[in-house]
Amino acid sequence: MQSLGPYSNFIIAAYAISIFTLIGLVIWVHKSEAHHKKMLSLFSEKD
Amino acid sequence: MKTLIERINNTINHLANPSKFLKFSQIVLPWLGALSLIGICTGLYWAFFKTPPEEEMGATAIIMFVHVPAALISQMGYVLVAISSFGLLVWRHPIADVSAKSAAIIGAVFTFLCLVTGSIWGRPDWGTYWQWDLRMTSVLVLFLLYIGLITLRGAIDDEGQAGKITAILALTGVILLPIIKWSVEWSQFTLHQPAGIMRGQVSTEFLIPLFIMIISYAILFTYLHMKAMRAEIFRRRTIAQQQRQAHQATQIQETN
Repeated sequence: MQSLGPYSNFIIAAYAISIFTLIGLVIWVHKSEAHHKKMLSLFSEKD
Repeated sequence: MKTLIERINNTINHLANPSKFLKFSQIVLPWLGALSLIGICTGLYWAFFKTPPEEEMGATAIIMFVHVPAALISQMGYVLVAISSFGLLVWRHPIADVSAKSAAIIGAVFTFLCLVTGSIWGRPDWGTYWQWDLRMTSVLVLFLLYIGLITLRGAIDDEGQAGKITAILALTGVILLPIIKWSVEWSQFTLHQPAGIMRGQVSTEFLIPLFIMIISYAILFTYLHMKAMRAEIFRRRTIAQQQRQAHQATQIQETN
């Protein structure tokens, strides 16, 4: 592994923000899909 | 050639049916998710363990592997928003509206990542987090345009009307893409380096993980877009179902 040098904080910050934001986005689309699917099934059952 | 165009046309028409899209995406999504995850892990491993420090920028050049893919995908996302908006205005197909709406939200997140990682990279390399040059300002405008599209859609109650007005705004915003692309060449006062990939200025040690990351981000974008589209289709179906039930209830009341 290469040494990150004196600016390691900047590198870690850039990667942490990218990774956590993308993980958050994946969780959000999953939850959103599951929620709307559940709502649709609830309304379909009433029919 | 003609048959290829016909095939592409047939595939698009096939997927424009929401039910067929739901079936197709259900099969494709796990593969896309796995591919993007493997690709990003490989790219990150390569970036941290296989690439040497860059000659001029040193170790901070490693930020390139998250900044450049986010920048490319933010523009690709806008191209998708524009194509979908065009599809809505010309063919009036509701799935085009679903696609435009879903791509705007995800595109905004990737543009945010491009701005933040670029800014973080700028501090050690240029001595500043931000410079009001053409490249950075035009990407900021792209981010605001995405936010504008999302807000405008949310501000209009009638979904059909909201889709059309948002599509017009999205198409006018296309002018921003060539500005972003050539902003470094056009601008005399910029700290941003010109794109070196196409000019062969990036060494193979950096090029391979960079391409892995770009492709993985593109696959991830496709995955997120499809997921968001599925959620939006389910939401619209629920609203349609609610309206149908409300209509039936009023009819029953009227007959009584």
